[in-house]
Amino acid sequence: MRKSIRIPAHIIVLSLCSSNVSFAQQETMGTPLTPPAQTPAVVEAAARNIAHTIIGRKSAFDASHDPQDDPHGYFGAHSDKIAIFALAAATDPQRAQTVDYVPKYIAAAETARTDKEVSASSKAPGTTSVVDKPGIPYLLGLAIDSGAVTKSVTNSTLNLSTSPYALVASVQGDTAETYQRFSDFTRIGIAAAFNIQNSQDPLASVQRKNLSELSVKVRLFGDHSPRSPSAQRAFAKTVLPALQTKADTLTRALADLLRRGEGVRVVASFSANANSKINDYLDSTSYDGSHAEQDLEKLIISAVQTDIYGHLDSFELTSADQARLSVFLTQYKASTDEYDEAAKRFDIFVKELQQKPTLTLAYFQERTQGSSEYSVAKLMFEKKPASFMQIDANGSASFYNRPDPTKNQQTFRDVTLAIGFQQNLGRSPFAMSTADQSRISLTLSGNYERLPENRHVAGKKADLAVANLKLEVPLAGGVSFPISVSYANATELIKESEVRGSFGITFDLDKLRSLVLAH
Amino acid sequence: MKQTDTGHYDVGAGEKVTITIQAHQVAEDLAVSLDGNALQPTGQNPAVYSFNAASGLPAQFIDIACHFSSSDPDSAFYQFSIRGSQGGGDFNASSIRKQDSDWEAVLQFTLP
Repeated sequence: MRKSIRIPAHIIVLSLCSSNVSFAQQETMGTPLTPPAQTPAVVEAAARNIAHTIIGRKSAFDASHDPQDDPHGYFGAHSDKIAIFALAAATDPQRAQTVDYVPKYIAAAETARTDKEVSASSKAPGTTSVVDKPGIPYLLGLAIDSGAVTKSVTNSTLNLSTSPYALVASVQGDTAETYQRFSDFTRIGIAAAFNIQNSQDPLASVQRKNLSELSVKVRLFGDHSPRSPSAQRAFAKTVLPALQTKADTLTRALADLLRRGEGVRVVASFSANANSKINDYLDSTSYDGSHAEQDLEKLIISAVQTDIYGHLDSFELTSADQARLSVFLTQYKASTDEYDEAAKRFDIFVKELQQKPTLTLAYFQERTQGSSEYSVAKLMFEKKPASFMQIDANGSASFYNRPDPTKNQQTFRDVTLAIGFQQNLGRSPFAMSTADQSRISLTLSGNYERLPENRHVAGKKADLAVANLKLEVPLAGGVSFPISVSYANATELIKESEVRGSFGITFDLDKLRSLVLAH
Repeated sequence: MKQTDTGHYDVGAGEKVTITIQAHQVAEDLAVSLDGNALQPTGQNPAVYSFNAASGLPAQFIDIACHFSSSDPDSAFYQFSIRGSQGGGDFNASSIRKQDSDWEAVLQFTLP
């Protein structure tokens, strides 16, 4: 008894396409495509994705008027992609359900934006930490976002910081070109702290008489940023091949399939019509941000139904073309999965790079009311071992600018050594939102200071030591509860040991804002 | 060259198309593809890509796939501009921001 197995023609074509075998294919008209009874999930996801971006851009553009935020015309550079996905989903609905329109890594990036930990400044008055961290306004994170100078207010202190790179970037733009030419300028950070006289107008306190500290920091170790040469080598090796494959997969499908029949004209018409409607909607007087995303999503889906699914015959897709669309979905999924993995590996590399030890040389000029001005030269080391606590170590020497002999002062003021260990203890149980990833931290630090002017002075000690244990528990919404205990064998003024406990509530307005925006 | 919208351009046969991509607050972490094949940059900082519009093809497709690491600032973005050798000027061809929900843009170049 002889059995025969029938293999559908499109499966044969599919397997040949998948293995990239070149052959003379008989291009026959396949079963005519019909519009899906329901909008495919991948098309809905695409419409939702595009609508979300356009509305996000509109909000930003209304505030900034920066060209990169302009939502008008955004659709034009995304219409071909949604068109090819619409065709593929009509051809192979089941396979289309397995494909992400946007890689998971990119979708997750949006969530992560609201998860960033925003730590309170270690320079806040009343801080119980005895170790300075080498946090130069290390450009990328601080100064550039706000332009040439970064401003922050902590309690009654106004902090202004900048760097030579921030100044250059504020004029030339913080582009790859600027960074390539001036990245060494990121090594230097300059900051000034002023006592605020008028809390309603902190900037009015920027006067010499209110200057409490001036600092210049120079990063001695190399560039550990995502733009550093080592990060770029890792990107080229890790992410670029996957990113290229994803891009090639998309343009191959576009070139193979939209050039058919009237495909180019149909898609151009779809793009122009939808773009025009989107722009009209964005500029209409009845625009309402509360349901704009949903409105735009419907508008885009309607455009796909009318201008793509309403003209399926115009694409003149053969059975081989339909098989290619299935192959496209398979290959696109494979390429996005590969990209997701590569992007995660690169993130890990960059994080490890950023946790490499940093060594910073700093100069401070301290001005405190009632005492002589002095300058401090400090060497600061920070290391964040992957599986151990963060270590900060400082060594410094200070010098009076104009020593006062009546106070037993000489040019040399003091020498100080400090070390601190910080351990994260996991996510705060008080965090109300999943977007809030604030962590409890425990810090143990110690400080030794040799202050010669106290020698042979009754009631004072020349050797001063402080030990401190601090627990900081983030509460909900950018509020945290620090509690600390410190022991000092003496202070600069009194030769008596003391044990001091302190606690309080700190507010991080930036973090509060980011959490509000996340909802 | 004539711009229909930010993703669609009419070009002349053999016209040299130049795409300039300016990376802001991010390295040039991107890949560009033309009709299924990698398009190599002809310049860096800023990244420049060019090709000649092929006669005999109704359209050619460029995909600009950008990447942002989780450590790049949220305000990072890539800005694209396009120029054709047969005139028409420089065209602003959209941008990709880290805050966008998709990090690739497709450009179509059509022979009328």
